[in-house]
Amino acid sequence: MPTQLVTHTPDGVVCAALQDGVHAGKAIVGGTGWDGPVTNEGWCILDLDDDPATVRQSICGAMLTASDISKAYDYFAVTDSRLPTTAQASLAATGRASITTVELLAALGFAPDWGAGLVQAIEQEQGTWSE
Amino acid sequence: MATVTKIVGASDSADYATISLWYNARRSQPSSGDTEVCVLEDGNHDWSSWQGGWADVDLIVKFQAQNSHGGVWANGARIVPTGQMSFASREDDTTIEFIDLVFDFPAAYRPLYLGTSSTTTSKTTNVTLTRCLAYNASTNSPIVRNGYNAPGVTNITATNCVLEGEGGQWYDVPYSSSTATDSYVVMTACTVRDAIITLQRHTSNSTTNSSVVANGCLIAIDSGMNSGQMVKLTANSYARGGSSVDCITTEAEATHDNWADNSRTNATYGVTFHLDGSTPSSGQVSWEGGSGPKYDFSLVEHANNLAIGYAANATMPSGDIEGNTRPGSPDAGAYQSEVGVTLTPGKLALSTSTFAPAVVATQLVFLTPGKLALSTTGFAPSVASGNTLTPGIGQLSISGKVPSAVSSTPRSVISTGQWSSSIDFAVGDEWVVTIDGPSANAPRIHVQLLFS
Repeated sequence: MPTQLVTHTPDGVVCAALQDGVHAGKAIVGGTGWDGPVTNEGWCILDLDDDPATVRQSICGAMLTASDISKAYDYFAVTDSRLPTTAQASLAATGRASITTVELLAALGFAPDWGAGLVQAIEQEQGTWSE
Repeated sequence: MATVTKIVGASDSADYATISLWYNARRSQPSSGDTEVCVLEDGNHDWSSWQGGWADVDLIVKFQAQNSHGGVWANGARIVPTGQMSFASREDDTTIEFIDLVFDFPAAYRPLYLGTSSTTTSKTTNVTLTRCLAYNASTNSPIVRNGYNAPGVTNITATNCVLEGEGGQWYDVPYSSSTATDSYVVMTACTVRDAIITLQRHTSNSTTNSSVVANGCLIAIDSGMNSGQMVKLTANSYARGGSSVDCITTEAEATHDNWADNSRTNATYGVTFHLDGSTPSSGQVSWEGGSGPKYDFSLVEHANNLAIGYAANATMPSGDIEGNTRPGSPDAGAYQSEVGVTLTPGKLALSTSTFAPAVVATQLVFLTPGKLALSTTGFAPSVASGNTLTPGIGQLSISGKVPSAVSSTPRSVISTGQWSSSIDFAVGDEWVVTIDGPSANAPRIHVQLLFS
């Protein structure tokens, strides 16, 4: 099941990793369907072919020393300018863009105030850090 | 002081699909004194989110169910977290409210975490749980953790809540900071089963305070869990300034008073609690139970159930966890049993119309009102609050005399022995013979009509 990665400005913090078919909410997706254009309230949705678990594990492998953590949101942020130009154009037009997981990882960094050590500490405290 | 309400859930009409999305949409919006309301639709919600980015102003955040769970674990809006919800870096006063929610916690660490980055900024933090069902499967992780390392006050309030656990704490102050927040817990009309409160302080800090106050609570702690004591007090625990009013507990008297600071009113100790719906013996408490965990903690309706009508002294909420009205002498715990009603038929009055109530008879006549019947509709005559009782129509039975009503005084000849009378009839006259009187002694009556 593909993934909708929902981000929010100004930092591009990843706020949710939803499966396809899940409506992000009428305050985010202004259209009648879950896959409609995004409102202009600072939201972006990146559509990925991989399922949420695979996306999360790919992020872990690239950003952390863990094989998996509990979530792919809060800790990370996407810098739009590092996405492919076609994706940037799509985001500007509709607030949505289809990208690959590789393209996502190229644009991904830690959210403000976060780093690998802090993520590890939190996830270990929760018992959701697996190496 | 604006209030902004948003709906979170899976339906197309929800504003946001998840709590994390709602938080990111709202975090920079509040001004000082504002209230942010997150209404949660029916179903499971993951509160896992790092909410350290709220505008650092005096803030009220409400998490409120769209529909009440009605006292049932599987219903309503349910918090089933995959991680902690962290209110980190808060330097201003904060109130976090949970209303009508079900908390279904796994064994792992998933609490509401209260944190600060300052060791000097004093602040007041309030966390309130109202009409919540909370189950914590963990034996060492809380539902609410106070990680503050700054002066100020943290007030934890639970009203009409079920707090069920497996020996772990539902609220704790775990850390040993040299500058720790005072922490006060007030529980009113709560049902507690194997859920602990843990209070600790740093060895170098003797100025911080804490207390646990319990009003009208049912407290059942297994003897193998924290030595059967609801409040975990360590060698470095906070001061003990608590109290207890109208509480029924499994704790021994000395154990209960250890945290209640020897200030208690109408407490009953060492009580046996049943979790199987069985009939309690006198002085026991019995819950409906069912299959656990996440038991049905409504009270078994029985006169022996000690919890029923027990909270006569505490200031109890007007309703219970299900919204049922509590009577003048409410039950202890989160669930109010059906209200006991005494049915007292009024005296049946007798009224007469069109004739005076004088009775003419040659023997004693008794007018005996019949027993007043009471009919109930749609329920057995175990009467709950809100049911309607309709007395039946009263019946009057009269013994010794037929209740004839005479509209006019009849012409009559009354005599004893033999008598005769003659009347001249005209053509077409009708005549009537009326024999009236008691039938005692079976008198024989002969009527002879002679026409000449």
